[in-house]
Formats: sequence, structure tokens, C-alpha cells
Amino acid sequence: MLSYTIKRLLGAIPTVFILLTLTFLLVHLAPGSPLDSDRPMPAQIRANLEAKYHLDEPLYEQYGHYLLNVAQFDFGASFQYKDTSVNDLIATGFPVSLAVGGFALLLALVFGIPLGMLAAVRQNRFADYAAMSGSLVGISVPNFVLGPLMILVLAVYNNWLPAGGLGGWQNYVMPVIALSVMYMAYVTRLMRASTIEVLRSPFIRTARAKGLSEARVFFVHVLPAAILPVISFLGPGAAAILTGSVVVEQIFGIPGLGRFFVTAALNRDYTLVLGITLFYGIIIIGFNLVVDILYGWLDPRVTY
Amino acid sequence: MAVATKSKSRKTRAMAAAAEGGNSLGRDAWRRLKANKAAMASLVLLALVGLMVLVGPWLSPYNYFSQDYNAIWDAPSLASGHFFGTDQVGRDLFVRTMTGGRISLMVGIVTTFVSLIIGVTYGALAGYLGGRTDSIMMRAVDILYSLPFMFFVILLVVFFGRNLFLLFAAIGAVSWLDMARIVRGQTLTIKSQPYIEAARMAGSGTAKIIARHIVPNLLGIVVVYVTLTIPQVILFESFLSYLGLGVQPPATSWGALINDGTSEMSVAPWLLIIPSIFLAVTLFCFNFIGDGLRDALDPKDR
Repeated sequence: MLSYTIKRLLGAIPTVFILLTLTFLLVHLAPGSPLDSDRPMPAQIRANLEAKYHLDEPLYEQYGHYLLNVAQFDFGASFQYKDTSVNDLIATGFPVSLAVGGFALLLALVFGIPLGMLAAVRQNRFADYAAMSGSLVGISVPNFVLGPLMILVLAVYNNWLPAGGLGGWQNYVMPVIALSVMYMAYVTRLMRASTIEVLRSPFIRTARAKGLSEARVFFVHVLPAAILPVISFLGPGAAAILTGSVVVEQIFGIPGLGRFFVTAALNRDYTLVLGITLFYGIIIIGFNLVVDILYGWLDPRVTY
Repeated sequence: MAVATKSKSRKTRAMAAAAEGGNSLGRDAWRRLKANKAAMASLVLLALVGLMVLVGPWLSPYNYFSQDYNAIWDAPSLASGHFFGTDQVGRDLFVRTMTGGRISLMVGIVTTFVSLIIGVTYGALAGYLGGRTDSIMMRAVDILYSLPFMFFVILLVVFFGRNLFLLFAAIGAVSWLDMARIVRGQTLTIKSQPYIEAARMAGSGTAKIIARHIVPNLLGIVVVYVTLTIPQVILFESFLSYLGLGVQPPATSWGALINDGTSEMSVAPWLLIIPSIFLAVTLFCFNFIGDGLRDALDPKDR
């Protein structure tokens, strides 16, 4: 177990490394310099600034500086918000995004898992068709359609919920639902497929043959085996939820990291865009790692 | 020349046999798909959307970019010729939805084609070559898979400017990973079939075996994933356009229209609702057809 964990940890290093290199190359292959502005700059000032940001050094030295800074979690200063470091912006924005994303993931699991199991048990009957059609609708309605429509009905026409911003818990209801529906649908479908497969396996027949109660068969034997694909979906799922929160925060005017990202992208705030990409990248790689290790621990068939 | 004629006549004979009621995989799958009412309905609906998007703009006296300040926020009506109403500068939403649909569908299809070519080549090569090459190639896919690609695409668009070609390339470069994995898995099974061994014994080289014997047999699974990749790509493009990073005005796409509609929804809700319906229905149809195809080609779950 320990050796497997260490092996996976070491395996994540090249991934992080490639992430860093790709982002570095992107920035340096991009046309123009971050110092370009509408008004031409005196050559001396430009040279000084270039020296300050190490832009006058050969590429490999810049790469070295870049790695060193990121290794110390220093993403530099924002171009757009003067006097604010990217680190500060991440520190203010991320907790908000984490709350929205975390609740959305939770909601997706809490509803998706039971729904998928129900559909599997009632395979090819009404409940199954209803759950499957529902989940196809869920997959086909993107959050940037669902979000505005919810605002229109629940906030503009009826004034039941606040349309945006952050205040009380009411502000979280619509964003969390908008973000969650698509993943709820995915989880339902995954859970249905895996439950159907598990229900057919010999160990379930054995459990029934032993005379176990149907409830015991279901919760002790079927559930732990059927939930494994959902566990492995958590890695890509979390990545998708972080991405989705970019648009959901935009719709609902939530001051999270995703919103910073979009404004930064539209304003070409290079350091902020880069910092957030790296930060999210590292989080996603880390989350995948945790999920992999968890999976190995939960699935007795995985050998190290 | 003689060889070519011979192989052609063999193919014709095989086709004739199939037409006489042989149970080829394709025929079987088509029969099962036809029995799937939801998938067939989706197919018809999708064809309808495609037709509308293609010929729709010619049915209207308006175009997608002309502004008309006498017709701002007109509600949908048949009398005025603005079937879907107009937006905040008086542009006709019907024509905009149709031309936007052209872009959304085109991005979906062209990009899926790019990812198809890369994914099938990569996956088939990795699976067929096997051994060390395979593990290195798939390890690379694993690494790419765990990168936050959406953010990379946004970075690309920010740094290199927003144009349609870059959008194709960027999304295509992202979406081949799934295809490569699936194709590789399937290739591993096909590789051990006797007819591959026979081909090798007959002196066929690697390239020929992959192109002539492996890729054609991947067709079933590839068709399923193509139908499932198209909606993903359309969604991806809409997502970028919604954020203002995709298609640039005056051109438009469903995502960009939904973005416009969101800011106008309290005064002109049709601007949000109509493009949303088109996008959702299209995605829904593709997903339903993909699901139906999967069931039809691999009936063990139903």
C-alpha cells in the first residue's frame, strides 16, 4: 500500500512538470511581450523592466526562474489589479469556488448514486426509462443554459431567489444546482451501468444463495462494488466541475476564482491567467492522485 | 490490376450476400437501431435541425448582421417576418440562430473529424505495436488527460488571438484522447484474431495491416464515439463562445447567442430561450443516437 502510494506520488511529478513546461512555452511562444503597451516606452526603462522580470536572459534561465518561483508557490503580480499578487487573488477567490464546486459535487453524488441504483434494479421498467431519459436531458442541458433560465424563472419572474452575488445561503442554491445537474446525470448513468454488471456477477448469486436478506445483499455486497466507477469518475469529475464553475460564476456574478479567470482572459492579464491555470492544474493532478490511491485502497482486486 | 479486380469482385460478392439477408454486424445493428424509437426520433429531429440550419437563412428576407433600429426587441411574430423576434439592435434572431447553428454544427463535425483522425491513428498504432511503445504512448495520453485542458484552450485563445481555425485546432487537440484510449483497447482484442495473423503471414506490413485489417474493424466503436464526441465539441465551443472567447461578432454561434440572450433576458426572453432550445435539442439528439448506437452495436446491456 505504502509503496503504491509512493509510486503514484512519484508518477505525478512528470505530469506537474509537463504542466509547467507547457504553460511556460505557451507564454513565451505567444506573440508580443507583456511590456508592450499603447505608448512606446523609453529604451532604458524598457531594458530595466526587462531586467527586473528576467526577460533579457536566455530562455533556459527564464525557465529556471519560473520553475523556482512556482516551486515556492509564487505566481507573481497581476497585470490588471495593480499592487495585488496573483497569490492574494487566488486566496480570496478559491474558497468561494471551492464552496460552490464542493456542494455541487456532493449534490451530484447524493442524488446520482441512489438514482442510478434504482434504475439498475428496475432495469427496462418505468423507473429505469425515467431516470435514463432524465439523465440524458441533464447531459444535454449545459450549465450556461440552465443557469440563465433558472434566473429568469426563479429570480426575474418570481423573485424567489437572488439572481446573483454572494450573501446568504440563498445565493448558493441556483449556482450549485446549475453546476451539479450535468454531473448528477453522469453519476446516475455510471452507477446504473456498474450496478447492472455487479448484479449479474457470481458473488451476488452466492450471497443470495446463502439466504441473505435482499437489503443486506444490496448494501453490503452490491453497493461497495458498484460504486467503484463513480470513485474513479471523481478525478475527471472534479476537473470538470472546476471548469464548469468558470462559467457558473460568470452567470451568477460570484466573485470566485473562475470569474477572475474569465476577466483575466478577456483583459489579457497574463500572470493571473497563468497562475490560475497552474493552480487548477496542480489541484486537479493532486485530486486525481488522491482518487487513484483511494481506489486502490477500496478495490481489493487492485494489487500493488 | 488483376489483383484489384479480384478483390473488388470479392467485395461485391460479400455485399450481395449481405443484401440477401446475411447477418452482418452492420445489418444487425441497423435493425436494432431502427427498433429503438427514441434514437430514430432523435435522428429525424436532428436531420430537421440540420435542414433548417442549412436552408433557413434563405427563407427569411433578413440577414444575420444588419441592424434595424426600428425593430428593437420585437417579439417573435409571423407577420413581421421576424419568426424568432429581434435582438437589442434589431437583428433578426431567426437568421442569427440558423447561421449560428451552421457554425456550431460545423465546429462540432470538423473538430470531431480532426480528433477522429488523430485518435484512431494513435490508438491503433499503440494497440498494434504493443509492448514498450504502447506503454509509453498510453502513459503520454494519461499525462495529457490529467491536465486541465479547458484552461489551456482558453490560454491559447488569449495568447494567440481568437479565430475559428485556432478553435478547431485547440478543441481537436483536446478531444482525441478518449478516442485514442477506446481505439487502443479495441485494437488489442482485434490484434489477436487469426485473420491478423494470416495477414501477417501473407507478408503484409504493419501499415497495411493497420489500414486494411484493423481500422475497418474498429468502425463500430468509432461510430459510437463520433456521435458522442460531436455534442461534446459543440458544448465546448458554446462554452467558449458564451465566455466571449470563441466566435467573434458579427459572426455568431449558439453559445454566443445564449450569451447575448442572457444579458437581455428580462426584456426579451426569447433571445435566451430560442437558441437554448436549439442547442439543447441538438445535444440531446446526438446523445440519444450515440446511446442507441452503442446499444445496437453492443446489445449485452439491454
